[in-house]
Amino acid sequence: SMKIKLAVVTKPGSAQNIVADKFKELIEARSQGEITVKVFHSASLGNETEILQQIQMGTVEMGIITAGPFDTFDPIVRVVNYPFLFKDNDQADLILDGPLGQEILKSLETSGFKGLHFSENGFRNLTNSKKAVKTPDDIKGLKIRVMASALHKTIWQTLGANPTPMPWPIYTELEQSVIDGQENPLWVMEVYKFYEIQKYMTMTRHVYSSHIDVAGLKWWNALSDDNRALIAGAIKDAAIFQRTDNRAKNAGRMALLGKKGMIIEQHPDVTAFRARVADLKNMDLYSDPRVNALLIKMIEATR
Amino acid sequence: MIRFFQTLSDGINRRVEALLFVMGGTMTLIVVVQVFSRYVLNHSLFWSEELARFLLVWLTFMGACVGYHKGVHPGVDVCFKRFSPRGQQWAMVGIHLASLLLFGVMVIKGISFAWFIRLQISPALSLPKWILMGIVPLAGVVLMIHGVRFLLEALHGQDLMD
Amino acid sequence: MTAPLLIITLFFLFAMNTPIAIAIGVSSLVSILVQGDYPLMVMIQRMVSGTDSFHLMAVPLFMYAGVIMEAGGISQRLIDFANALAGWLPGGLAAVTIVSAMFFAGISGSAAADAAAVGAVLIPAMKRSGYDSDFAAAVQASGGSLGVVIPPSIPMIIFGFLTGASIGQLFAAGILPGLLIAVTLIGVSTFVSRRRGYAPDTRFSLKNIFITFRRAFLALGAPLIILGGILTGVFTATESAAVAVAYALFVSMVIYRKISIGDLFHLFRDGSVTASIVMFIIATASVFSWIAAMEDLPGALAGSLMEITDNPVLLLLLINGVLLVAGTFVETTAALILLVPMITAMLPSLGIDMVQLGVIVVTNLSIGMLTPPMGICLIVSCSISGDSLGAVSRRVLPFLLVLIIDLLIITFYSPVTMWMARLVR
Ligand code: NA
Ligand code: NA
Repeated sequence: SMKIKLAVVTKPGSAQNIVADKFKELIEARSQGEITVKVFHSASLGNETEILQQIQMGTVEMGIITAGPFDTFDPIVRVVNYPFLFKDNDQADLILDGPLGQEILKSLETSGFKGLHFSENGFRNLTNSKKAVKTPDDIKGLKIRVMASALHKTIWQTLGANPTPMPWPIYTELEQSVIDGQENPLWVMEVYKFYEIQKYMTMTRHVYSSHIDVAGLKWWNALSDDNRALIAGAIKDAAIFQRTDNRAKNAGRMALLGKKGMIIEQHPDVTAFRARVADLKNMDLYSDPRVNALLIKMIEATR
Repeated sequence: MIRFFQTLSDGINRRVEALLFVMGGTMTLIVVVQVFSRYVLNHSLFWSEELARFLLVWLTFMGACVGYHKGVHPGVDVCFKRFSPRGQQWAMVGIHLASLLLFGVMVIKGISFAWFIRLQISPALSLPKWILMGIVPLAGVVLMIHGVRFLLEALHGQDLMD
Repeated sequence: MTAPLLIITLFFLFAMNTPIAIAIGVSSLVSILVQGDYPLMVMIQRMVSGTDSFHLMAVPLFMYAGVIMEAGGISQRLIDFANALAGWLPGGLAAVTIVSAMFFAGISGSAAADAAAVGAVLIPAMKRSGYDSDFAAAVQASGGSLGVVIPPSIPMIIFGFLTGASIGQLFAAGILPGLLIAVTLIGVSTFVSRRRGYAPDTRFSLKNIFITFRRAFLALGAPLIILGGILTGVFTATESAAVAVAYALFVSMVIYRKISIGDLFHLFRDGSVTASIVMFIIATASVFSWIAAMEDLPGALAGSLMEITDNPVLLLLLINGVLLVAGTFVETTAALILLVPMITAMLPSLGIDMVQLGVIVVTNLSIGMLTPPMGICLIVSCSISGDSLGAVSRRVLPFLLVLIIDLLIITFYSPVTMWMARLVR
């Protein structure tokens, strides 16, 4: 029998935990209890970068980790977070589950990870307390909280906003108008009650926030073929289950946010947004030839 | 031998104290400037939080060195007080040896960990993370020098004569 | 196997009088070596990660605020003002001591450092006014220990850091319990003072109140910035601490002229060292909690407590009992890091808010600072007054009694904590 330690940073019920719990359920059933999974949640083992380091060290076998923290291990993952890349869910699935997504997962092997599948937080959208946003011009001067990431900072700078890095949580800062807005996947707006303090939401879908369901390469290579097939199958089904689940819930979330009085812009001028950030593909972050080549292929494929 | 380690440990400690002042002052200044910039200038600094956190980590380990040199890290002395002078001396020798083991791991594994993450960079400042982590082996070396001094002093019964 | 080894090594090292941070680090190291599956490199990762936090930056910043206010004469002016307000009452100086001690204990969060600062002034003052020396020390120790319930408070910052609970809310939640504790402690000290016939220190004088208020006017700005900034949500705890440092420096250097540029070296050095004592414990205890999480120790401990009972009231009493015992033997920061994961694992069964739980935990552990053997405030007060630990401990007993009652009120009457907390998001 085998015990898999799987780590996530989020609390039970969050997107990552749904993948983890489903995977645990599937693999334990399919292996008739031969393989058991212990899920470490709520960052009890460390933050996402630290979990990845622990997977490299072999103290943890698997993790469901958002794409962002991977980029210090392998810059190719930045491609997934490129702004306004995917048009919608179907396109994201098509690309990430297809050969281009495989290229990213394969590349992770050079830094000691076995990339197994993509699951998701979903598209990030913009909310603010100042004004309705439909075009890039509406964003000018808005103070938007961003994660401490060079890419996210650059995106919002290019769009003309005043990006403000700030540690989570940010409810008070939004309420006191220390910042005007924030950008996150839909579930965050619901769970953190941002509808109480943010009047406007724009379905910018500016960045597709995905997780990579990942294992340690050394551990993976030592597994039997049967176990590898079993794990790969279970994580794939868990990931697809979670993506479907998340999208089904998004419809309810939209309805709730509207009912709570948020004014939602469903169809912003995405073409104009795309045009504004078009030059980002030449920025330093994407200058590595390998990364740039894949980015160009991605942009072609999503056009 | 003792004299050498006493001089070395005191000399290093003076320099670490100076570093503490510089880093503590800089960290305070950064947070104040960040607040000022956000509320008064209406402009947020992108680098300030990460840099201040780096300084906090350095401050922690440098401060721990000075605290160790001063002997101010608190312990629980209920049992210890009841030992005979001889027992206390041996307990101290044991404690110093155990401490040196920990400091040794900080040096050796600190270096391997800094090497392990040598390619990783920090998200906001794009600083190499080994600079941040490098404080652990560095502090480990300083702590070991103080530790060897304390061990030699304990072996010669100097603590008992104080 | 790993878990018992971890605990046994830890207690053995504690018994040998090993510095707490090092004892926790060495016991973790031994467990990893014996366990055999984990690379030692992970220790380095946990040590750095444990201290790499914007919220924890408030620890050194509040320490700087404390040492600067002390050196800059701000603390003295605040004490003078408090004395003018309450010193004329029977047992008034004791009341002043409690109020000052509770207030200052929060500023540096290190109850011990400020027990020393406030106690050095007020214990001799009480003795001069005819208070018994051991009673004076007991009053100072009680106020100093419980000061961390009133914000700002390093233990609350650490609790917030460990659980993700909002530090602003924790601070707000501590205000009413802190006042309750202050009032009941003053009640006990007044009762004892009347029976023993301790005379008032000063006479009531409006003029004196006015004069001391004017002298303390700028000094009062420091607590105002800290409390006001956090409660209105303008500043985070870390930011308010930094602004308080800047303000205290400005007032002490430019207006009172009690601190010179040359003094800054010592102030920042001393503040950093005091902060590092707490932070280094956090660093090594982070390794410990990683191993504990890997071995599912918090879950197992919580499970065994919940096997005794699943009644929320009994469970809360049980938690209080565990915390009181732990606070008696273990240093506050270490106790927080070691026990909070276990206690929060039981949160769903307790039916209370994380913020209220935080206040309960901090109140328990601060009572622990008042009880031997690890009663840090008790030890500091004894060393100032020159009395034996035994003599002062006896005088502390009536205070402990009302503190237990306060603790039960805080535990079972949630509005005391949550009413203020709900005002802050
Ligand atoms: Na206080
Ligand atoms: Na105690």
